[in-house]
Amino acid sequence: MVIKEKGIEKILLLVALSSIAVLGLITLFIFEEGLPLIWKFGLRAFILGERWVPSQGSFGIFPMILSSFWVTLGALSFGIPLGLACTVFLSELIPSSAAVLLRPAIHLLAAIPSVIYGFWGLVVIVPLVRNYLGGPGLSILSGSLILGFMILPTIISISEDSLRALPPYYKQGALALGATHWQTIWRVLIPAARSGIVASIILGMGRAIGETMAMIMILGNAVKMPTSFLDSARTLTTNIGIEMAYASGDHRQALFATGAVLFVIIMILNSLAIFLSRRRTG
Amino acid sequence: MRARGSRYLTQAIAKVLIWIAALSTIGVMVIILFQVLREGLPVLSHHFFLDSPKDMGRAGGILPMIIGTFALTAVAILFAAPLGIGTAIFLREYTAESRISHMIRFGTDCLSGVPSIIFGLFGFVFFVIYLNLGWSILSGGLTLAAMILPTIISTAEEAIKSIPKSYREVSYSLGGTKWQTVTRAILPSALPGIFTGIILSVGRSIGETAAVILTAGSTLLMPTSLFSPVRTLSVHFYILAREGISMEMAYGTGAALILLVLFINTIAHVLINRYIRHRV
Amino acid sequence: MSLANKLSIKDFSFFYGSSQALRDITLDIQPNEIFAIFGPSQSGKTTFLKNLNRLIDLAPGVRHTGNIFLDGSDIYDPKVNLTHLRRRIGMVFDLPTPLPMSIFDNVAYGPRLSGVGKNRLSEIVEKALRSSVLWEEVRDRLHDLALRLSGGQQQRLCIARVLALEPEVLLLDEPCSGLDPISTASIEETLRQLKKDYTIILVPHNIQEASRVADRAGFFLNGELIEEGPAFQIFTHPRDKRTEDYVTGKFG
Repeated sequence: MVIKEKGIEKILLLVALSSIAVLGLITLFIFEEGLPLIWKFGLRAFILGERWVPSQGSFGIFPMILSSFWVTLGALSFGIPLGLACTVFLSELIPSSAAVLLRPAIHLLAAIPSVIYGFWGLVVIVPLVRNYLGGPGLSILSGSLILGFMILPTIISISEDSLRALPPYYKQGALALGATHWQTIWRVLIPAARSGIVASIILGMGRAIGETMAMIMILGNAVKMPTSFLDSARTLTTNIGIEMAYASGDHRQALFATGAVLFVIIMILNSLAIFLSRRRTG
Repeated sequence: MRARGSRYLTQAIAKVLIWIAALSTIGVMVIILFQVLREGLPVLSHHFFLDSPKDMGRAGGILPMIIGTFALTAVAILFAAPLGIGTAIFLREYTAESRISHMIRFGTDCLSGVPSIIFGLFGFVFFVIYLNLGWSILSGGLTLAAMILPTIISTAEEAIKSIPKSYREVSYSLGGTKWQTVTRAILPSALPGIFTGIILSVGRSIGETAAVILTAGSTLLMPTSLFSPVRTLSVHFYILAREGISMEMAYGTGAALILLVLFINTIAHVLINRYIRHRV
Repeated sequence: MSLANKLSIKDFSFFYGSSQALRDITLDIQPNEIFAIFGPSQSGKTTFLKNLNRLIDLAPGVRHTGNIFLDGSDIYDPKVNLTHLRRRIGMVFDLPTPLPMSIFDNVAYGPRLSGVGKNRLSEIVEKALRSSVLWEEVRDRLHDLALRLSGGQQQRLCIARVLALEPEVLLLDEPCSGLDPISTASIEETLRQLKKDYTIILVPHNIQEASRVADRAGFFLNGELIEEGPAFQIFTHPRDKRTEDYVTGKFG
């Protein structure tokens, strides 16, 4: 009986190591495929190179890095204000009975596949941008709009959790001192929930940077340095997603190298978010 | 007096803006769902669900895609559920806060942040090439398993954590071993919560595209074994939309996809509510 | 060391990490007696009980010095099988803690763990429920959820659950706290019946309960055993001033 118990404990330990194992395997294989090319081509040339022409052996991903940056920035510009507004709306402006109904609706929306958002963006937003603002419509602006919406559920649910976790005396105390409801929200509650809100934004940022399919459908996939929000563009993710189907040899390795760069960026962001949320919960 | 007035003015403006923002957000979300469903529901029919696609997907139905989606999800759950639940049991019952548990939690958190395209690359080079499984249901399912593992671990952990300490004390005081306590006193009560986490993971797997397209392929043919390549609903939808093959079929597939995801998530929420009521 | 002692505690000290919870306890428990351990809260009474069946092992960072002997054998001997020990020394907690299953399954939980065959279970369950004076009230609804029982019934269920394993010693930590007077009375009566077959160590909810039920008693204060002796003597003419102050209500 004791031997059986010891055996079970060992098995469970192995099982528990599976998530670390998977993470390790991912790191190993992505870098194993991608690093040789970075070595061959040169790290600076790879990251700062402005030409991506696989047929000629040019593998500069700077346009993609910039595009990822701008699309993400755009998405955050839409997502943060809207997300905060909805968060405040949910936790402070509507009765909790209504909030109880809305919250699962938000989770439901988070579950909608990204390809649906991409499709709708393609069919509705892209023509709108094309007709009213010019350019091909398939653009960074369109991408930012849709991506902003896609990260809303992430920002809203985590920020709202932070707000709701605040001790009630924060709000009661402020109101008792004569602050208006809005002043309480803006000057007391939101600052108090700051680290949770920031963590939600960082997670939203990670989600935005990693989004692929919807962006392929909306961004237009032009491989050039982005100069305006109405330009078509390719991000790090869409680059991989589009070309992986037919890439081989060096080209394929370059895509893995792109993946490695993306992986590093996301890991840094993630660690930041984990660090912030651990600090919050102690 | 004037200062007082302006505070209330600020508040009124802020609240109005927030109401507008929130309602437009909700509005847009509703419009998105509404539009896809409105265009797509008419396309849903017996034939749509039971036929195979014809003419590159311009006609016919989506049966292979439905089967492919279910098969991939089933494989994913088959692998991820035992691993995830086992991890949760280990973290909650077999260790205290220690280096190992911190490492495992860190690994799980990191894994949950990895974008799906990276999983796709990994699945491709590891399952399809290195393990020589080829583009197949197995490759796709295993890749999905890796993606949903963190979710299952955290929901299972929450479920186990919420079991009252007294159940454990009682079981141990009656001479139970650790494993007996886990299987007889803890897991039965934690099962609804664990199950909910699994269902949520199912919902997520169904919508997953990037990782699947790189590991399960994109053939239109009906799969014949675990080693057959297959196209899932979301991949089919993506290809139809992007290649502009058939708007009608795209809307139909999209509607099917949305309905499936909504259905599964609703079940999950119903379970969560029942589970919470059961606890109290 | 008298072989007639059921439990023998010698110079036992206990630590949660660096804080000392029990100091040099030395005490003998006779077989088939009801021994009450009383004193103000946070005196180490529950800690002491949990050491007797080594349930305290579940807490992190604990250590002890000294010995506890059950029928002459050291319970902290590395060769001791914890499961067997806990079947010989059963425990009932202060709050009724039915497991989320039927009445029958609750009582059968312990026997099932130790591998008792299915055909013997009904007989064991009935016997245990009779001994805890619950049988007549639940015989027709054995498969109802235990949570549906009243507080007093749940507590008697917890006693039955322990009795189903046919232990030798019963540890009861404030078993009647939170129960109405009628349930309390019926549990106290049950304890008097059980004394014939079991050795009982009881942390009473108040002194009145101890004086009604116990044969001998011990006064715990700040982790120390101040004095012990026959119940009648310790409650009416305690030897130590601190015991007297507590018993007469000067503090508590």
